[in-house]
Amino acid sequence: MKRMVGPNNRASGWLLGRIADRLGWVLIAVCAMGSSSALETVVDGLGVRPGLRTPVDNLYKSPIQMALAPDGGTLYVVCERSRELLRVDLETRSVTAGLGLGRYPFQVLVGADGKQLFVSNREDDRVSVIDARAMEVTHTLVTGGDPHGLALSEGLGHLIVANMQSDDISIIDLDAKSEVKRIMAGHQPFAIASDPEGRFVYVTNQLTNPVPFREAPSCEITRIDTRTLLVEGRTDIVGGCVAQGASVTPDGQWVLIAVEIPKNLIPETQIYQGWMVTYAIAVMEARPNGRIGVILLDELDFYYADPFDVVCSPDGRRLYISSSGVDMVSVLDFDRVKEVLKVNTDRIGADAEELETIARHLGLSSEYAVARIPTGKNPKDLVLSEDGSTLYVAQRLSDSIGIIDTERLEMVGEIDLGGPDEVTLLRRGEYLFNYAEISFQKQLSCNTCHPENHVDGLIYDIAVDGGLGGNLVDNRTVRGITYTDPFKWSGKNPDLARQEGPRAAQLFFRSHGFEGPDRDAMVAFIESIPLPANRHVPADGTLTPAQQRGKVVFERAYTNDGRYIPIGNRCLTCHEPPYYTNRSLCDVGTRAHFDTEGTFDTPQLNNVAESGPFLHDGRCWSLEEIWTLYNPFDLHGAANDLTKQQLNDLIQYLKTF
Amino acid sequence: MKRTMMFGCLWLMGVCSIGWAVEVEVLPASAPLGQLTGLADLNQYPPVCLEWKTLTVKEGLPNDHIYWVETDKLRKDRVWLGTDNGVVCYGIADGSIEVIQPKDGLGHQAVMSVAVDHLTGDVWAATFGGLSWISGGKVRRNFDQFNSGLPNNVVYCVITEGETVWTATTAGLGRYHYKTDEWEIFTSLNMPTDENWCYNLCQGGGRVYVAAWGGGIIEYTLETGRFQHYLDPDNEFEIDLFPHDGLVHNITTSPAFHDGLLWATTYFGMSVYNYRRWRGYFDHDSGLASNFINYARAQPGTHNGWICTDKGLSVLNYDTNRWVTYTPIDGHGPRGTVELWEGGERQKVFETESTIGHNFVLNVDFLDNTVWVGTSHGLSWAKLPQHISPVIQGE
Repeated sequence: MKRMVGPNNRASGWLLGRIADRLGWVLIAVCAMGSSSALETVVDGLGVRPGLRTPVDNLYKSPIQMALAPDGGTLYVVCERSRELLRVDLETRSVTAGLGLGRYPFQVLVGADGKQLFVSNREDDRVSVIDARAMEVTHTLVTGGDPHGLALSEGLGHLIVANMQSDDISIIDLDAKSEVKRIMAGHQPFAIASDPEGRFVYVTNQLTNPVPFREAPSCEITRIDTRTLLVEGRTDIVGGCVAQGASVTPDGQWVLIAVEIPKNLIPETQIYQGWMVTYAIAVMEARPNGRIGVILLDELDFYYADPFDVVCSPDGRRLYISSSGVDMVSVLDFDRVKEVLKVNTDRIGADAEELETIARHLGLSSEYAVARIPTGKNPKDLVLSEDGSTLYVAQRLSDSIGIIDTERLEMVGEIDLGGPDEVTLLRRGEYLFNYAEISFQKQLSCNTCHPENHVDGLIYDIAVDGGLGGNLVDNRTVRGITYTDPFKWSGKNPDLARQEGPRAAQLFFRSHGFEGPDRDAMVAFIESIPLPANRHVPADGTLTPAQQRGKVVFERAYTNDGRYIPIGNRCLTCHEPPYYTNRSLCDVGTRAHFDTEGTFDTPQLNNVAESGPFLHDGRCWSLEEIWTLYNPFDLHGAANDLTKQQLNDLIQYLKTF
Repeated sequence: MKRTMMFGCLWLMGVCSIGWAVEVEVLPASAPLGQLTGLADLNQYPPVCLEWKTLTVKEGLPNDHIYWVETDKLRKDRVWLGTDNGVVCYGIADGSIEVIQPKDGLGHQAVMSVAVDHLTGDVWAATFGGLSWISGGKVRRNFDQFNSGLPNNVVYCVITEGETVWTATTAGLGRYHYKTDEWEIFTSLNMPTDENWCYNLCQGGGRVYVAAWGGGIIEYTLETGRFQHYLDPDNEFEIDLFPHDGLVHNITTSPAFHDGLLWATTYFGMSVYNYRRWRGYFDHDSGLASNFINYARAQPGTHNGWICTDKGLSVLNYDTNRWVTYTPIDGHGPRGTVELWEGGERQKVFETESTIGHNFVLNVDFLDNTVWVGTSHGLSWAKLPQHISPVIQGE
């Protein structure tokens, strides 16, 4: 099915969406095709998923990850949006070859001899294996859901893949070309850093593991012995979230992780004191369950939002960090960092209390920050030349590679990857979404709390609506939210324009909201964000027996003992397809003592399994808890008569939405 | 009423068995080993272990009740214990003891079973407060009946099979597919038993076996998803009316499978099924130390079953019907006796300077040439005699 509405037809699109909910998209499509030439057709492969109002803009390259060939003269660049792998000649600074990839490609990894390349294709759950010279895909490897970071084992016999959606790590035998085991990871495993020998790899997990209600987040670094292919340690960055790029120092002693330190346990009014979110590098001892010291990138009145990648110079003395929210690369003196952390050989000497202070000290970065180098838009991956003299920066929203001279510490050139000069409405919106310019002291971008256009898994005290400490709310996704209005858990925002305008100004940025054309661009971009494929639906679309049984429970009108379930107390009534929301406020008995009201927006349930924690204040880390703990009076659907088997079946069905 | 009858029968069986025991000379521990072979060639018996070591609270264990012993067959350098006060990781080489308890996130202090995933090396602990996932030396998550699809918080046993984790709980059998985060539940609603109290598990030969309290042995074939149910043909009788007609009792305590033999223990004797015929074993007609059996594990490649009873540890070689039974003197040693049996005839008894930690034996496992035994007074282990080598290849 195709969506038939465009960005300049939001009002009609909204109306169509409303009608479509009830009459079906096929009918609307037929009508629309015959009546309006202004409507655009969405041809993106994900167009069949609900929630896509504005077409995905695939004109651009959007370089996201890079890898240097062993000869040092060739750079491979993955272009996320155009779904390409580009080969760039660094001497001529030009693109010499390109190869079409799968959907949402991410990392490129060069085999040891440089003859083979590996690229993760996130939406296809595959890794492409590529003949580097011919630039041809030789075969593909099946992975878990949303393959992201890649690494090779010692001896190069196994490929290690971080699967963001399925929260696990695939170990693939490269001779057999198949997965040999799946290791459970933390939450949303993101990147993999390998030590110089390849003996140990460290997997960053972007989001927090489940933590008790109103406790600090804690994201995991998973250490794997690539010889035994066993997990040897799981270290938590306590207080950290959105852990992304990582690298190991050349001496193999330290693991460096780009991470956010959110302050979601206190009211957001504290943004003025830098207490909304800060950005840091976690320095971890490279051993099982090694200690971690966190040092901030930020300054007292300026924040280096959304750190994405970190690399270390060959001599181990400098760190380079890309801050994609402020278009900047920070350069840190690692010797000074180690002094701050009181490092003694390969151990952090600072005690726990000192580490707490360091991790929150906004005045410290001047101790170790050597330079801040402006870059193109939305810098992501960083790659250093072998001698460390040149730093390449993937400038995602500039469609270019920035070249930094690490002696002069300045940008000395740029490689144009061939994207269009025109900036479309969507592109403008995407940049605004990812750029922290709008917020007070550039403290945060939309992407800060919505990495991957999704959620950060945190609960916030937005303060204004309920006063300090009141109305705690779980962060909600921005994927596929078109037609799920109203917005916010309170349902106070009738549309995205209001959400991104005055509401954003008041609640988040403490400066001003998006206005005029910027607001239009922002809304268009958010409306273009698709839902990823639902991996819980079997490939042939036929529900499993458990899912089918769950569907019966979801749609039932009678309890197990034959009592009639009033229409208002059935699952289907409030969570009607295709978005599984009735877009109304409902009281499901979940009002907490700090809530000013007991009715909440009925959330859409598409890809619900990936959007935890659950309920309006995020008190549930599993779907089960919604009914086992927080539905004692059957106000959240008649469910207390369900057997454990039926509840399990119901949850399996919910995951297919 | 039923329970009174049950223990009455047990008492009768115990009294009767005294008359059947063969009186033989007890050789002292100082007797040369050569004397032992005068009557019987030790090579013809199941493993005769003469030197035992025992680890207790004194040496650093958090508790002496060792409910479960699981050797780490992937790493081969550690033994995992389920105790009455947490999970213990015992380092074989250096004797290190790492303890994981509720303060570390474990579901409950009572750990009834531990399993090491043969693929990932992760450890799963069955506790009275849910199923705990241990990885990288830490508890990473506790699955309970509220936050997951686990049937019940009282988990008696856990095993791993393929990429799934099976749990035996008081409210049925749970199967967790960790790749897809899905739970299956098997209860009297969808498996052939009236009893949901699942007590113990094992897997082998493409099947998973369940010992259900009062429900006999339930066999699940992985390929077909079909169940087979084994019950005592005598039904409610507390004595075995017809020998070798099937399972000796429906109150089963553990299944064990290896090399084509299914071992089923109960509190009233033991059965072994070779998929052609059943054999029953009792303390009055064999070398079995007691009919009250907590657990049995099949030793791979040998047709030996190691049987943990309330009165000692017995080892049966199924092919020869020869037995070795280890019993601490005075119930807890340190000296013990070793009895050699052929069928129902005791051939030899001799004393040893060391033995298992207690006669109440709870669990047993193997790693290379060492047997590890969990008792109600510590963890004991001994080297298996060199002549005991696998005689059966594969299953």
